[in-house]
This record gives sequence, C-alpha cells and structure tokens, in this order.
Amino acid sequence: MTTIRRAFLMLSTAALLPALPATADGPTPPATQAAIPEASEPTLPTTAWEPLRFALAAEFQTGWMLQDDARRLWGKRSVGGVGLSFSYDAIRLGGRMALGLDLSWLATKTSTTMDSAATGFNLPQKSSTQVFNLGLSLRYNVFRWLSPYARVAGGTGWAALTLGSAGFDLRDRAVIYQGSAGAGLLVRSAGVRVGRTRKSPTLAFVGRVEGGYTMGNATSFSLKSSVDGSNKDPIPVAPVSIGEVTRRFPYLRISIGVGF
Amino acid sequence: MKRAYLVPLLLVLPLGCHDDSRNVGASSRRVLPIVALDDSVAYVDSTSGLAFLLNPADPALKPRLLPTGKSPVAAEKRKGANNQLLVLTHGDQGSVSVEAEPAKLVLIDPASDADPVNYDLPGRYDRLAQSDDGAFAILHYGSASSGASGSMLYNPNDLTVVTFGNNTLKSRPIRSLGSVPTGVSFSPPGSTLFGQPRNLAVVLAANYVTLLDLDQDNRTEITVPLVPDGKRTVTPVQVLFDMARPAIYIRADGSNDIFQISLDQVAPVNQGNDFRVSLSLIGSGSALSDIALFGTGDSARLLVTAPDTRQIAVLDPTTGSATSIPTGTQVNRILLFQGPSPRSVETQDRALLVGLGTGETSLVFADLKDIETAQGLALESWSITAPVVDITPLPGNIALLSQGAYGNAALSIVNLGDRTIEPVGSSGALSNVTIETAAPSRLWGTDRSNRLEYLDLIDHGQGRLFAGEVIVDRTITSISPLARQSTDGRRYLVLEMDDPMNVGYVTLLDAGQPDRKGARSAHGFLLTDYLERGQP
Repeated sequence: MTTIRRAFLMLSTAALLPALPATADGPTPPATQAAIPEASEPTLPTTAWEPLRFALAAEFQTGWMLQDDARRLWGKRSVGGVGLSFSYDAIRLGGRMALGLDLSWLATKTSTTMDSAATGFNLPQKSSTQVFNLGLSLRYNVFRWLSPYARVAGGTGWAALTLGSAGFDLRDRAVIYQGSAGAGLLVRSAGVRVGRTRKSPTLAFVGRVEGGYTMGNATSFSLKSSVDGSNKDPIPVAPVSIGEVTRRFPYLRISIGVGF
Repeated sequence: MKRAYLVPLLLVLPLGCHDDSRNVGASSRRVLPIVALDDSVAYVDSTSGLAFLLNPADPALKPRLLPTGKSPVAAEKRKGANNQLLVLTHGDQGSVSVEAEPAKLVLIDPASDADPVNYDLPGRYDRLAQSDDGAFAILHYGSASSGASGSMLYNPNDLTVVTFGNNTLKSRPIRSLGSVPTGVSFSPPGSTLFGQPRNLAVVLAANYVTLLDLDQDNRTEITVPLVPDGKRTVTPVQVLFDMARPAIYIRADGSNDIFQISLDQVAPVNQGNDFRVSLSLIGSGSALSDIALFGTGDSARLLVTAPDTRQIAVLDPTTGSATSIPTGTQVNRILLFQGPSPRSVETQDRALLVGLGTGETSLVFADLKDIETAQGLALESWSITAPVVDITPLPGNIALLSQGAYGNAALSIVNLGDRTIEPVGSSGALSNVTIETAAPSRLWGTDRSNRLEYLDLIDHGQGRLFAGEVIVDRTITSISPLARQSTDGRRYLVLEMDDPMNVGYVTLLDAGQPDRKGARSAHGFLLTDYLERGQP
C-alpha cells in the first residue's frame, strides 16, 4: 500500500515536474523527498527517468468523417473509439531523441439509425471497427517530461456493419487496411520505484495527445441476411452491395498510461 | 497490485463507445407496388426517387438504379408490346434552399443503356391512363383538392396527352364543370374512323364525358353533358366503342339508360373536329350492371344485364328497341366469347352470364345469334356448387370462376365450348391469387404463409389439371409471373417476401418448373449503393 500511495502521489504531482532538474541521474528533488517522508532507502533514489522504455496506455481516439459515405456508415460526423497501446523506445539517440515502436488496438462502435431524413430508411444500424496498428515515432525531448513527436502507423483489422434488428438483419464484415501520420506531444513524469531494490520496476505517468490523418482502403460492404439457424437448407440469398466507404479522416488521439 | 492498476483502464473503456440506438421499427420509406415488366421487375422508391430494375437472369441479382425524379406517385408497365416502365412524379415545388423540379412522366427502358426519357408535365397529376397498345397516355387529376396535387392553384380539369410515337405531350383542359375525371377509356388499338386510322379517348367525369381525338391534338375536345338539366348525378363507368357505326356507348351509375354518342362526319372548320357528336339514350328500364356489344354493322346489338329484375336485355342501338329476357337468376357480368356449344358446332357469338357476389349458384349460357327471337330458348342455366365472386377469361374459351365458399377458396374451370365445369378444391383459404391469362394459363396463390400453390388451368396433355406447391423461406406477400423468358432462357416467377425492414425481399423461381432447389433470393436490394447515393 505504501508503494501505491507513492505512485499516486507522483502522478498527482506531475504538474510540478517542470521544476525537476533535467539531468540523467540527478538526485531526487527535495520537494518530492519532503512529500514522501516514509522513504526509507537513502541509498536508492525513489524516482528516476530511466529506463522507462516501455509504456502501456489506454487509447481514446476521435475521427471526423468528412465524406458523405462515411457519415452514412457511422451515422454521425465524429466517431470515437477506445483501445490499448504498448510502446517501446527502440533506439535512444544522444539523450534527447528516441525512435519508438508501438503496437495498438483500437475499437470503434456506433449504434444509431440510418439517415432517415435523407433516405427514408429508419433501420437500426450498428457499425464497428477493430484495428491493429504498428507505429513508428520519432521523439525529441525538449524537457524530460515533454517531448514532441511525429508518428506514422499502419495496420489492419475489420469493419462490421449490421442493419436491422436481431433475428431479421443484414450484415457484413470487411477487412480494412489503413495508415496514418500525425504529430503530438508526450508528457511523462519521472518514474517511481515500486520496490526497495534496484531490480524493482519503475513506473511513470505517460500521456500523449496526437493529431493526424488516417487513410485506408475503401471498404466495400455486401450485406447478407443473417440466418436464424432454424432453417437447415435456406434458399440462397444474393448479397447486396451497398457501396464503398472512403476511409480518410483526421483524428485526435489521446492516450493515458503507465511507463516502465 | 497489478489488478489495481487496470481498474482505471477498465472504467474508461466503455466511455468511448457511443450508443445512440433507438427502438425503431420498420423502415418508414414508401415504395410503390412492384411492377412486373416482361422479363424483369421494377421497384420505385418514392423517398430516394430511384427505380430499381431487377433482372432475374443476373446471377448477382444486383438491381440497376435509375433516377425517376422526385416524389413518384405511380409506376406501371407501359401497355402493349412495350417492355418499359412508366413513372409519374410530382416533382418538387422547391423552397428557398431547394430548387423546384417539375412533375414528370418518366419512361424507362430496361433493355437500353440510355437515360430515361423525361416528359416535363405542366401539372402535378396523380392519375395515369394508357391506351391498350401503350401508344398514348393521359395524365389527369384524381381529386379536386389541392392537397392531392401539391399545388396551391391548379385546374383540376387540366390533363395532358402524351403521344409516345412522336414524343410529344399536349396539355388539354377539359370542361367537366365542377368535377374531376374519374377515368379514361381509349378506343381499341387499330380503330378506324371514316376509313382513317383514328385513336379516340373518352374522359369520364360525373355528368360529363369528353371526347379527345388523340391523332389530331390541335383539334378541340368535345364535352358531352350526360344530364343536361343537371338535376341528378350520373357517373359514367363503362365505355364501349363501335367504330364501325361509329358510336360510343356509355353505361353510368345512377342511370337506367345507356348513353349513345353517335359520331357523324363533317368537314372540319378551323380547329374543329371532322366529326360531330349527338347524344341519345337507349332505355333499358332498370339499373344496369354490365353491357357488351356483339354483332357488327346494322346487326350490332347491346347485351345488358339488369340484376334487379333478373333479366337481360338486347338493345338495338339503331332503333332503340329492347328485348328483355328473364334469366331466372341474378346475373350482373357478361363474358362474351365466340365458339361452339353442345348443341351446335357452329362458331358464333355466345355469352356466359354470372352473378358476381350475388350468392347465386347458377351460370347462364346465352346463344346470341338469334336471341331476340329465340329469347328464353337461347339461354341455358347450369348449377354450380358455390356462388361466384370473380370470373377470369382464359385462352381457349376457358373461364375461371372464383368462388368464396365457407371461407375456403374454391375454383371452377369452365370450358365455354362444351359447357363443362371442373371444380377445384382447396383445403384452405387461398390468397394473393394471381392468374396468368396468357398461355400457359397458370394460377398462383398462397395459403397466407410461405407455401406457394399453383395450378395449371389448361390441360397441357397430362390428362388432368396439374397442381403443385413450393415452400419458400418466408411468408409470400405477392406473386408476379413474368411474361417473357429472361436472357438465361428461363421465365421467372417473382415472389415478394414478408420484409419488416422494407428493404426489398424477393424469391425467384423458374415459372415453368417451380422448385425450391432452383430458387434464389435477393434481400435488401433497395439498399444497393446506399452509401454512395447522392442526397435525394
């Protein structure tokens, strides 16, 4: 419990981090020491900026659908998604730059009704995507706690569309490929050692704000009646192509997580 | 400890998932009834202003989408040997932000890659009438209320004649003085008047009929008041053309008389017609339910049914004389045919007389050749098991009688020549009954479920009338047998399936050999290219 309290104290005082000296293995700031009077290992610093090569974060992304077809698919102009990412500083260059790799999963899902005002269809519509991305980022540490970065990513996954209600609906799932390019800011805190030995992990707060643009393959949906299973030998139903959806949209990505 | 770190993550995960779902039912869009063309079917979506042409021979069953204009109100096959779709639209009156669009008649040829032919109309009509050969169409209003037309100010007696032969249309207001047209009758295709090919139209309205010479659109119309004193209302409902005399006979509800309009040749003056009309009445003495014209020239006679008096009457239009003949039963419908009888192999004019919906269980055959002299001897009554509710003529002097007995469907197939009646039983109520009057003359129906029943109405050599059934996946809501083979050599039967989503659901069967194994379905085809469509 002491360790957890220490970690949360560190996270909550992240705003004070600009006051910290920007040396690689410098002493722990007195203010922080004072905030943790129960620190009992005078030989080990309680916080550190190294190694902190890894990060696990929750992802929140919003994309703005600019094309009519995409807005019809999603039923709205902006579509939000959540996911997880795991990032790794593969190469650190000269103490200020780092080349990072990240693997992320992002899920989006909307349940709405079709664009009835324009088309007359008034059917329940569920759209979702699951995308796995591999990203490459180049980061420059202006301060230890603040690093602008540029990132490119590419990935694959699938998009699913269901029209109608359960038991009588049309659905399809299509593979999607996409790439994105963006830039953002990374904010992190110094790591807090969660054990009493040098092998104990160091945990830090990591947050990112990134804006960019995603481009992907046009997704074509061919809807087909779902089979309720009671009919062992249904009459073949031809799928219906409802058209392609352009996958191009600007996005804003926010991630909050833990570095270690 | 590790679980504690994951708790904040799990809490925020659902926040990114949006759920705006509402509990909505079926689609609110309006789709006009299916139109069976010769070898394909068409749906017209009023909301999107698109026609969906579905070719059963297409393995992918992907419909072709064609624009119809805004607010289609009627769609039907162009009559005659024209495999084309006619769509009548109301257009859009426009607003500050929406450009106005005129009402149109759109002609779509499914066999052509060309764009549809649009005829811009001067009014937002809601009724479409065609000549039997599809050469002419008359567009008119069906209501005098402005809500029906969508226009604030309009003339409900305005109509437009479309001549497809030369792609022209002409607006021709008529003088019906307070009422709107209730229907339009066209002279039979190939008619001649005074030795020249001529196409006439009779526009029906309460107390008035209007004659239009469709071949001479610069000539004025002729309005004939049926009740000159205006003290009663008669509604014309049936028109017969005798272009040889020439005369037009009109039966009207509210009148015991037949209105005879004689056409006499005159020299046209200015924009006048080359004929003038004279109205005379042929009295029958009682309310009429059907009239038929038989014979030619001076021997032409009108056969009329007067169900209230259990009589028929033969009227001589030249002299106005009437010969009444008791039938002994209420008859209100006449089916003329030419053929032999059990007593005579001579092919001559005969008639089957039935009482539709009267509860009578008798049929009356009439030999018309000398009926005025033979009178009752020319009639022959036959008993049937159940009252008749409908009668359908079929090729080969066959008639199909539909009989609603005790809630169950019952049919009888009558051979008009030898006057035999073959009953057809049914274990349940038959619905969605569709009869192919052209060969091979097959009756299709359902038992209000997913079971398609069919019956060959003509013995194709099996020695009996063949019946069969096919079970499909959902409840059948309509049956459309196509008239012609598709490009794959099959003639298709198109079944509309129950579709709560109203996105288009049909099952296609080979009409020649209906079988579930060869069936295919298309579901949701009204959504075709939905994501890529422009805003309607």
